[in-house]
Amino acid sequence: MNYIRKHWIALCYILPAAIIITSFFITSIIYTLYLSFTSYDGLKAPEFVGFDNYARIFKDLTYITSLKNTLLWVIATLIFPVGLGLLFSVLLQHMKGQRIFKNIFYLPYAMSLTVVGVIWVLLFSRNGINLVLTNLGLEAWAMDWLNTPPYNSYAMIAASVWQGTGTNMLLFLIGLGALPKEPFEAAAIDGAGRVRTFWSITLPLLNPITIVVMGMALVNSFKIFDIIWVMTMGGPYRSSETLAVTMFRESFVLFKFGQGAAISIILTITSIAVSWFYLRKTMVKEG
Amino acid sequence: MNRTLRMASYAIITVLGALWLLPVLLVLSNATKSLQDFTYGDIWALPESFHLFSNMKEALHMGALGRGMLNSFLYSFFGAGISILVAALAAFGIVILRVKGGFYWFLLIYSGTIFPFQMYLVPLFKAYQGVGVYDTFGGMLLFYIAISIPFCLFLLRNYMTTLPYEIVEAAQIDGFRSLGIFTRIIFPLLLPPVSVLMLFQYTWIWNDLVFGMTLSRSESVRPVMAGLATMQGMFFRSGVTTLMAGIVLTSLPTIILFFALQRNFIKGMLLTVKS
Repeated sequence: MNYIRKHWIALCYILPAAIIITSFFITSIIYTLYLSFTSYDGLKAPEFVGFDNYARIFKDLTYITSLKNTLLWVIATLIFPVGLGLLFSVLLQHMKGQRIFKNIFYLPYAMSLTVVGVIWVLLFSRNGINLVLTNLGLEAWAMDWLNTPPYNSYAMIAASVWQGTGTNMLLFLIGLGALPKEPFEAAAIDGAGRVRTFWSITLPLLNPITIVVMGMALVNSFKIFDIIWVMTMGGPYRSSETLAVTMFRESFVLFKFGQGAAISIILTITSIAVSWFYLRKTMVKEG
Repeated sequence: MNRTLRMASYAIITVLGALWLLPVLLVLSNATKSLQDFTYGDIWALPESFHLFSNMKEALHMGALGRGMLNSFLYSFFGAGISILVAALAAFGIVILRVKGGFYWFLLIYSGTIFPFQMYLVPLFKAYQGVGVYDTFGGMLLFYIAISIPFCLFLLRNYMTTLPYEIVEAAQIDGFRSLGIFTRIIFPLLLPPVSVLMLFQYTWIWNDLVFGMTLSRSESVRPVMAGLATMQGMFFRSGVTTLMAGIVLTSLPTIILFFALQRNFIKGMLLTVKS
């Protein structure tokens, strides 16, 4: 009470935001947690089933596939958009005409993931990349990309690499521009080659920004949904689902709200655990 | 040696650049074709005629993208604007008015971005149906305001801590009450982060798919990306040219924003990264 009396003016400013967030999200989190222990199907009243929904995630083949795909996406997003972003930035760093290439690589990032999905469905359709492969004499590689696991996941990862590399490149370019000059001059005097300089000087100095870029890629890769939903809807036969897609299908297509809730809890726990180092960095500095 | 290295990197970057640009060129080329051109040729063939605008018109009407774009424009504009205001008020209470335990208030509001959005889908869907705001304009707008608040608060709070506190003290001596300090002194100083946030939240709301799919159903409420996803299912076999024109239409606003305000985007990313 004393607290309210002393701080009521400040509270007037904070409360609108706090009330909105609490009613929209905090209660949602609690409700999802509750649902995950029930067999709620939208019709009958929720029935308590203990950890059944959780146990099923690690037993049922559909969910195990989804877990594996999520892992694949996480690893691929850590390697390709980050690695290519670094490569592009290093190649572009001192290049004339940097701006035009920078804009080209950045362009896909200005599009939504839904749009990117639609574009790549066209590219992976019968007449898309397959036609190029056939004309190059690589008929053997031509296939029904989006209907053939595991290639459908690879195809979608390619689409997301195309979209996400540009922003990483931009961040790396900023990082490269801010590096001190002296170590490079010293290395040049010592006669170190370009490759050597890159591995022993550029990369270590770039470490702080690399960590940030990887952290952002990590956090985003767990939530991947739009591209998959647009390109395959997780199919065929649920072969290309990730946890986020599985959760959506269980809840809004199959109406297994309890199972869907358990999957979102697992998704939350893994994504927070894995990105802990990244979150902690932001949190500690905040405190 | 240096020369060959430079030539090699030019060659690599040119090839990669061409590869990166190719999907965009394909979209433009196929959005320009007439449906006949497309059916008799293939997606790689160049357009024989110029049908971009008629394809766009068809996407707006038959694909119902026009309504979706209008909806999303309103959601994005007012969603971003109102959430920034609400977040700025909260940041003001926490940083400038120095509420006790301000960090915990911050954590409470900021926690909205820590959890994957999948946590919110079912409860919000149920609650929206229960309260009767499912598939309504107001319901969608309110959601977009709510989801934008945590990140806005995050940036605005960081920015406010860098403002010199003396200006607040001076204003207090001049007899300003708290609301006066907020509207006359603090808010005008917030222009740099507010412009960044406007851009970030506008594009986020414009690009949202999953919540649009979950919380709305009818064409008159549905945001643009949910509409485009539906359109893809209907048009992929029979009207690729219309679909591609739809892509051009729905991407133009964000592409223009990105490139016109590129500097703000980079600034925004740096602000996010630094913290």
